[in-house]
Amino acid sequence: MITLKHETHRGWAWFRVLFAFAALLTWVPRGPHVVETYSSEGIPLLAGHVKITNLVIWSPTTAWLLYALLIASLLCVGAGRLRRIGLVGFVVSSCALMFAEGLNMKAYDRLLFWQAVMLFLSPGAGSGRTSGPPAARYAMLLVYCGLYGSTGWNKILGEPRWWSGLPLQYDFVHRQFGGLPLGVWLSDKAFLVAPMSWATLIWEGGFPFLIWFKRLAPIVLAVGAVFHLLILFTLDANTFSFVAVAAYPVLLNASQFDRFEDWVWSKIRRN
Amino acid sequence: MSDASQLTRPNPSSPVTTGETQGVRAWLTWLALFFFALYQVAGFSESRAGGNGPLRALTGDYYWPVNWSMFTGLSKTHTIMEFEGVENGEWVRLPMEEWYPAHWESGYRWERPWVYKWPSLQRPFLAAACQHTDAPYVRIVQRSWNKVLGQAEQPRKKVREKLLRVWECDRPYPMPPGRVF
Repeated sequence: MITLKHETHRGWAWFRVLFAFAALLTWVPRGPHVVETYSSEGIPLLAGHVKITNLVIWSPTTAWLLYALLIASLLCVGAGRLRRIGLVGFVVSSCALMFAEGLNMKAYDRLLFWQAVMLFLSPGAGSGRTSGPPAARYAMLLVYCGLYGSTGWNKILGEPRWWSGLPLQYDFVHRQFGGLPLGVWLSDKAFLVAPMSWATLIWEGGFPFLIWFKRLAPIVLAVGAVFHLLILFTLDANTFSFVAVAAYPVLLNASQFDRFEDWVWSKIRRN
Repeated sequence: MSDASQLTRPNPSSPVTTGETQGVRAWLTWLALFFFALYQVAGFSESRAGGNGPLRALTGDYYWPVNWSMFTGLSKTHTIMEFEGVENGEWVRLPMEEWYPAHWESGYRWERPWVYKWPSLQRPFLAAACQHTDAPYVRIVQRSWNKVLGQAEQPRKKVREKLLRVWECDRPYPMPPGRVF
């Protein structure tokens, strides 16, 4: 039952740490190219959805300051210090940089944006110890319904050959996104890729409907974790898998996550 | 990374549920969630229309944050963009990758599909290429060839070429806001 009963959801703390980790993994490698990509010393473009360069082009110093603010914000969020300020700092600085670049605001960048917003709105800004209404958790669920549902139904309605596995086979040898050893090996094995393709369509297309059933949610998310693990080893989607899985702890309800966490700790203690 | 104590169980005696949002605040919360759900549906609708659907035409470009179309289409070809400059009367490849090495998993900035779809985005890259060469003219060429399944090596065979744009390097290119390359 979906209610606004207040909850203390320990998953927010895990989400916050995983978010900071995934965001650092995304942004630290961009460091060496800050000046070229985000400042007047590169190739400023009037491009993208928010054409910030119409108003301002960052100088190299400003670009570095924004980048420093972004990294410092993520370290604060990850360490649990000044969480709300850190989340605002991340959203402002990452948007300022990405809008200036104009062409590369990737799916995982947009997802990081939504994750930061929901962490900000969560009880205690991702403390995991504060009681509050689960509205931010529901909103995070809606984002994931949009994420998986949209891409799944775009495949189902827009490219019927996904049922044969052919698009996935060719994705595995894509010059940029493909080329990973497991993906290349799979690419000419239609009998293996076709079931993977069906599973992708059913899982992505079914996610917005199935995740709201309390008993099904853990299964849906377990399949999701395997799905992202396979993406990690077959497609070069940069940090998408890490970013996507980061919010999984809050896609379970509080009591489900408690049981999951207790189970994990008991396994760790036993070993 | 984090304060480890924050990742452990809070006081076990404290109940998971401690109250409920009620009244006007509850109504407002449900209303906000309802509109947020509608926004996700609108994002899906716009992604179906290739990001250029009726909603965008009606209200503006506000749906890109929830446009999640990923790996949806079938592409049997590799496509690259290459820059060339005139040297001794011949077109010679320009090493843009060395001059502007920043790249993403999707490639260099000029390899984004928007660049070969929108001529206005080709001009700044051509003007930027001019900064590093004495060539009087530079051009951008789109080359594509078929993918080969089952192997990492993807040799360029039967390459198709499409000339996208030629740029005269003496021509100033106005950059926003008022900056000139």
